[in-house]
Amino acid sequence: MSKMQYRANAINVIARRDIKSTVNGLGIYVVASLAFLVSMLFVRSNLKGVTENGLMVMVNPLNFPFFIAVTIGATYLALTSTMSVSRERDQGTLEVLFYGPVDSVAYIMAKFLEQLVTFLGLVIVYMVIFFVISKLTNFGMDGSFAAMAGLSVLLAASIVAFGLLLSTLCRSARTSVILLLVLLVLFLAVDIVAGILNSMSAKDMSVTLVYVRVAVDMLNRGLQWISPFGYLNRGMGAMNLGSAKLILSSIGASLLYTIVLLALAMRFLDRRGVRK
Amino acid sequence: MRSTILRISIMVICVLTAVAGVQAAPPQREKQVVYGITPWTGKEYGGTFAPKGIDKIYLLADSNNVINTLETEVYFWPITNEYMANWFESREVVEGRLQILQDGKEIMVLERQPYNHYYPDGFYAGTSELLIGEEAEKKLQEYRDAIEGYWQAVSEYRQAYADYEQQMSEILKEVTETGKTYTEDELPKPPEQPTPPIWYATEVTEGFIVNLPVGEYVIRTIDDGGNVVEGTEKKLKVFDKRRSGIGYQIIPESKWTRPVQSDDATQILYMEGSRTMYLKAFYESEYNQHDFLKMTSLEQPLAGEGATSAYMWVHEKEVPSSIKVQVLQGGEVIKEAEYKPYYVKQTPGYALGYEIIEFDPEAEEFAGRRPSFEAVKLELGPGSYEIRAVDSSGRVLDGSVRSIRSINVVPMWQLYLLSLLPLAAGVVVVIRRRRMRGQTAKSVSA
Repeated sequence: MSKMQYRANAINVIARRDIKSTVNGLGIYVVASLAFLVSMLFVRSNLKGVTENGLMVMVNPLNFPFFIAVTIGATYLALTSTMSVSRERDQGTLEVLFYGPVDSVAYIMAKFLEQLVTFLGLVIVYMVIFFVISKLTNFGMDGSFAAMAGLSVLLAASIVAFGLLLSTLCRSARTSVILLLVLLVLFLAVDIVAGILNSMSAKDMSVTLVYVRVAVDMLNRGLQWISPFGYLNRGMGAMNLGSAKLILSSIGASLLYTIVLLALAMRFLDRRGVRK
Repeated sequence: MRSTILRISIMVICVLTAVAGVQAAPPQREKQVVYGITPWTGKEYGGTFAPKGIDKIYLLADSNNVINTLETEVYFWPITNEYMANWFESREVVEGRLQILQDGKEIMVLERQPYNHYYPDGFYAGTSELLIGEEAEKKLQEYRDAIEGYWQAVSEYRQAYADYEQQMSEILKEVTETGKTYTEDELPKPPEQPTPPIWYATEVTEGFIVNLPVGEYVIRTIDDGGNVVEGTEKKLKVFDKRRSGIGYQIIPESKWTRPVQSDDATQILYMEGSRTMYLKAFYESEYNQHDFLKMTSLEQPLAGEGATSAYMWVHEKEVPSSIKVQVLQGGEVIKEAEYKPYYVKQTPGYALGYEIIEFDPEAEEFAGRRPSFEAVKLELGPGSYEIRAVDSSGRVLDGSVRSIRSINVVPMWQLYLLSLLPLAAGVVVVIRRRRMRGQTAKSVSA
């Protein structure tokens, strides 16, 4: 057996074991329900808006609820992968694994693939339920929704890779979890606030709000290559413009971002070692 | 005691007067060399200027824009956060030529050219055209001739009307004296009042006509000796639209003063139940919000700030009224509506307050009135539709397709219940797993 085959086998075994553990646990189901409950608040708000106004123009009203559900799901998976790496290190499982035919590449890839496969399952459940919501409310599932669903896989991949990188960087599980949550909330908040400020009419803005917008815009521009949500926005923008070149480049950039994060995670795992 | 009160009162009055004097102090004016800018905004010619404190000018690509180097008094008006120029009292043209550089190399030197603005539908309506050189002079002369012709016609009309009144009074006198009757055909016809020309052409003036492709440039004014006039070097960004399409302004029958806008195909119109709406279609372009706002309001330093990554649609001009709007359901055209004039008639009482009726210029009730708006009327029942604008040859206008969907009002508990499905599935999985584990433990212990 070659080194690559050993690696592939190790990835397969570890990923299968972890997927089984995730599917048999209650956590992923609780998170999926929680994600839907939060999303429903936005669906409700959109329904209320139309009934109160009679007529309303909206970009697909299911896109944002879906984005919220995806973010909650991906964050949960990133958190579990972060915690599992730290836990396995603390319990000595990681050290035992590395005595066998497992190296940092196989381990990180297995953790990554496990979460990605779980997320794919989650997205399918999301899509089924959103399809039912679409039929119930007549909020359409158009091309932008399909684009969002496709790009959400890339978003989840980058969030999970980000979580894995933090788990290999930080000394304790608690630090990596807190750091991951703080950074994701920051990225998301900047993204949402920038979106809201950009959609506001410039004429109605007070001077204070203009300065806030300038600060948020600068922050957003700085974060757009670091934040996973920046990559999603670029992808959605490219899909809206219908430019194949932009779509491909945004997908390529997102994949590259994930690969770089995974490579860094492997490097840091090698440097820190597998002992507690 | 009385004198103390008097003293305090005098002091208070003095302080208030001093404060009032400070508040009313005029802003500091400074003589500056500025660029007066008349940018083409895709819809009309705007007006702004670049004072000393602003180092970058924004213009639209491949269109004629006017720039002029002027000296004026500039002050900052903090209430509206903008620079103001005292054009009425101080406006001197700075002689010279406009040098344009790209990547440090001179790409052109512009001389001032005569130009004016021509308003085919009048100064307050429609768009204006920029006429350059001889064309501008010719149009201005045409306008002057038209105005002269109008006053000539007015003078002739007055004379004709006086003659008419004279004839009528003679006839009236004859009728009173002799009792002779006249048929309508025998009576003289009153002269027709001449109408003034609607179109307008401004006075011809001189400026630099700048028309450049997309790019980053540097501009500066140079004198006859080729020396740069101090304070005239500025950066110039020439930008273009990101995309163009057809935008709709949708006027709901129930709130006609609060129209909604759909600017691209991703913006779907949702409605509840059956609705009547009026649609106006526009040609539109999407621009970077920062660049566009800087171009139109350069004198406001905060305009467009923080919006470098945002884009905005600008409705440029209404599509011709010969355009029809088709309504499709299931891919088939079910309705075709055309532009018609409508009149908003106020109704007495507490009900709706108004009704929108089709305007008939021949009808007596509309005599002396003008339509409130022209639009395409759509009456749609519950369902999912698509609309699109088609020209007289049946060609669908690019970017004009939109979805219209009526929503179903569902009780929220149904949606919340749906959210709990994954949790229910999870509980089933966990219970099943525990049972299996229990069975395995039993079989091992047995």
